[in-house]
Amino acid sequence: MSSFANELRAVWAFSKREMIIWTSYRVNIWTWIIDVFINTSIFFLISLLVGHHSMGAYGTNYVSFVVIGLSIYYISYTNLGDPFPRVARIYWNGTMDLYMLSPLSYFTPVIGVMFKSVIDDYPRVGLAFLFGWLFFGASFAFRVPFYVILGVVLIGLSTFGIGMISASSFYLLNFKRGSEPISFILQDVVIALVGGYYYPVNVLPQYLQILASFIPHTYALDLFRRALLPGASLTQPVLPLQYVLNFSPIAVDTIILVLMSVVLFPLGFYLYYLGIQKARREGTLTRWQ
Amino acid sequence: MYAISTSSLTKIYQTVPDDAKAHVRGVKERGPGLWVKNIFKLRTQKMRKIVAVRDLSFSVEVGEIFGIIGPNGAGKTTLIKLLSGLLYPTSGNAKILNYDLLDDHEKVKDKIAYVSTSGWMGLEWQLTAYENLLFYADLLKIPRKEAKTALDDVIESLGMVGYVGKTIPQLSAGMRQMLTIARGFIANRPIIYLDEPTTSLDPFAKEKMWNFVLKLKKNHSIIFSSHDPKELKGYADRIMIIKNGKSLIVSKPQILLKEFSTGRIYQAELSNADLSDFNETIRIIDAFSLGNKKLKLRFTLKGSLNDFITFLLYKKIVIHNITRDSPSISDVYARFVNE
Repeated sequence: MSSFANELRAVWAFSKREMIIWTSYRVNIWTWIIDVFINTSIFFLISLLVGHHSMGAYGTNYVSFVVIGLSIYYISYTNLGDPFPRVARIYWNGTMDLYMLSPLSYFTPVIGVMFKSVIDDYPRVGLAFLFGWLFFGASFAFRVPFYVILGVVLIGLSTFGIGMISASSFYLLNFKRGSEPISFILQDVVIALVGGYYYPVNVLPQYLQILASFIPHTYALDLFRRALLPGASLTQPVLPLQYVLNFSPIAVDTIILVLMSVVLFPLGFYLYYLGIQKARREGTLTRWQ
Repeated sequence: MYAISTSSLTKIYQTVPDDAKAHVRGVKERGPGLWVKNIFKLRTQKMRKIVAVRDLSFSVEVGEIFGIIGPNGAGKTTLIKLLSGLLYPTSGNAKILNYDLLDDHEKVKDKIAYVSTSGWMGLEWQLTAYENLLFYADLLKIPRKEAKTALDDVIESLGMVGYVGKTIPQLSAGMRQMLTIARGFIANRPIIYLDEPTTSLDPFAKEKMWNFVLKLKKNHSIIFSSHDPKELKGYADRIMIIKNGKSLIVSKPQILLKEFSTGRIYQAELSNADLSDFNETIRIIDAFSLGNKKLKLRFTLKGSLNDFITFLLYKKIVIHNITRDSPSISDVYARFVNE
């Protein structure tokens, strides 16, 4: 069996384990369905309050607008927010030693253990679309499917890259207790404020729009909204870089997402590798030394 | 500090004549499973550098069981982690079945099994014992059919049949420990490290584990650390005593007992006695109070036996019995560690 196939088999083993754990808590499935339903309905209620205002290049349907925001939020929540707590779980459970002695790459256990979040969070994307469409009047168009698929891959890679940078801080910067500042500052401060989950970025003051230019969420949300929202413009620029570069906004979004993925994804893995090497030098791979 | 290259390790080993190695170690020579030279580890603890392992050199043959004993914090676990590649040495190196520990760590990983029974043992609490073993078999890339055969064999041999269907919280500490040991054996790796494997095991479980290890011995190099001198004497072909990261001696148990046990050892049961009475006349190894000023002592004499009996009579101490006792590895260990 090839090395890659072996790694996939190990990821599958982790996934099965996570599935057993996940299904052992029977209430899980109900809580996450209710959670997505409530989240979507909150934004429906807000849309009733604000009415069908124009959102410029993104059309007029606020529920559709927010369903896309929620979807990226769910993907980002897993890819960016999950690697650090998963590494922490491996460490505190005392299993890092065993994983490091198995013939796996350094990264397979983290990816494998993340499966719980993937089965927990990714289906929420589909549910958000479903609830929005069934109950709250959301509607969607599929005008540039190639860009949508590419955008999903790129936002997945770039946010996972940031997630691995955050995970690397567990060993590299010794953030072993509680939360760590990288995902906190990015996820809970910068992205929450300027990512544009719930409002278009161009309503922000200019300095915050410039700050938004440095995170992949801004471009992914712009791309998906232009591609999926009925009545959205494919040509009218919204983001500062789209004004500066002055060509197709979707192409700008895609190029920036490619660049961010190419930088962040390998950087995250490299820093995590450095963290493990540091832990092996210092003897801090596992909590039991 | 001392660093050594792979080629020089091989050269050094090759200079030792084969018959001499076999003679000294008392095992049939099959070549070294493991060869360690000047391994040294500095660790930082609260901004202070401490020596965890100090310049250790030794080798372990294929077919040999090598025991390590030392006080808490002596460096046993650190040494085993160094030899597993979980820790990088500050200097020195080792060869594991001819693979360089540092340069060929990916290959070394395929050759070793590491059983640690400390902490939470890395068990998955929501899974059954069997699912835990199967999960690790998958991670170790053992084909499913082979894994099931290996699992059945290990489960049967270690007496785990009755509880493999239970989840981890339903298992006793000893059962969990046995599961950790079973996990280490399923891949049938030629080098096996057992870090205090029997700490929580009852005597029957210990015996089962050791019977299984002895079955594997022929084609494996087994290194284990323990605090139980009886276990070391019973199963180790050679013993290394370490203290403060430094090897005090490496030798066969018989040689340790013959050459390094402390004089003649006696055992006595006495009444109307106080421990402080004996400072001048004997060196106490072990003492147990049996109540009512009755003591059971294990000791060596500072003078003659006649002098000691005269002393007891003079102090009006009642003598229930005094017998000769054989020296144990524990005595040798105490002597090295206390000196």
